Amino acid sequence: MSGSNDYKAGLLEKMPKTIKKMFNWGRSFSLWPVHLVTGCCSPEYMQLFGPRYDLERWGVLPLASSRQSDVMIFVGNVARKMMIRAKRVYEQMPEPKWVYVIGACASSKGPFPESYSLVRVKDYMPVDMFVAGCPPKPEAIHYGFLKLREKVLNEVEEDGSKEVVRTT
Amino acid sequence: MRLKRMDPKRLSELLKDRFGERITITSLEERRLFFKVDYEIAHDVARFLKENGFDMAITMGGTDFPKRNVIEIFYGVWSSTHDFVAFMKFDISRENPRFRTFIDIWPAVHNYERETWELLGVDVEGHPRLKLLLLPDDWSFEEEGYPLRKDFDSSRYRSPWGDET
Repeated sequence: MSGSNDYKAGLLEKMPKTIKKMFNWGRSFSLWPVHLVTGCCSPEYMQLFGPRYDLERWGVLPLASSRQSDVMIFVGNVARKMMIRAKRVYEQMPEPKWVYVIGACASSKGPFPESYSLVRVKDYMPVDMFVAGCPPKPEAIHYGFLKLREKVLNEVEEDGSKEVVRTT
Repeated sequence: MRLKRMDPKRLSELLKDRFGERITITSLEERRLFFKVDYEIAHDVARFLKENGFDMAITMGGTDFPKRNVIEIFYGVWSSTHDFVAFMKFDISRENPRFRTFIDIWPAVHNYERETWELLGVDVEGHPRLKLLLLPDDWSFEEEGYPLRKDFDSSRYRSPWGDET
């Protein structure tokens, strides 16, 4: 997705590769999410911050403020009215930012393909990671976060080169 | 005035005595009473229920019946005295769907009537605030229609497969 890499046009573009890598390494360990819990995937999502899965050991600290967050998480179905508010929250977040979509409803309207009220998130903003399932298990959401870290680490350069770092 | 506690069977007898043949009891259960009335006497029946202790409107809504060409409106009212729910139903025409509001009898139906107005396209006469409640602000009734009508075309909201980038 090109839209989520807009920050490259800024100051960072002029920096040497090594420093960029260092920045990305730092970012990959502090993916602070702002979550929009609008549907029934939320019980699975809540498990992640309990003692069993403990996503905070990867630096994922859930925040209530969008202005200090890096990742926006859609948990469950998103209605047309909600999307207006979600877009506003997305615009408040500082660059760089990533969008993470959990569940079938938010990815593709899931079991409600002809719903007059639901929308797909990818029609409105660039999405970096989808997690399939209805609802996905906590392990799946956990794995998705590790993949998102990988994506942050393996940022694609302007010339198309890409360093491959595996996290999973 | 203190009301004597009664069960749904007793209420159905009372209604039969008062309104006679214009009321049809459709279902009588242990703690539920469903009956159908003509629209002309619906407000009288509602006032009668209110006087007999049915003070709390818990739900209200409508159903579209295109084959019979009617929209059926129902009101569900719970009684704190008798502790059961009475459902009053009446039909209105589908060509000209309108009925007078019941807010003066049960104020709690305010938002339910708003919802029925926007989702079924029923004109609620005398309602003080007919504005969009659940539908998005950019909803257009001319173009998109009323979602709970049976002839509502929902296929326009289907996204095509294979449009992933």
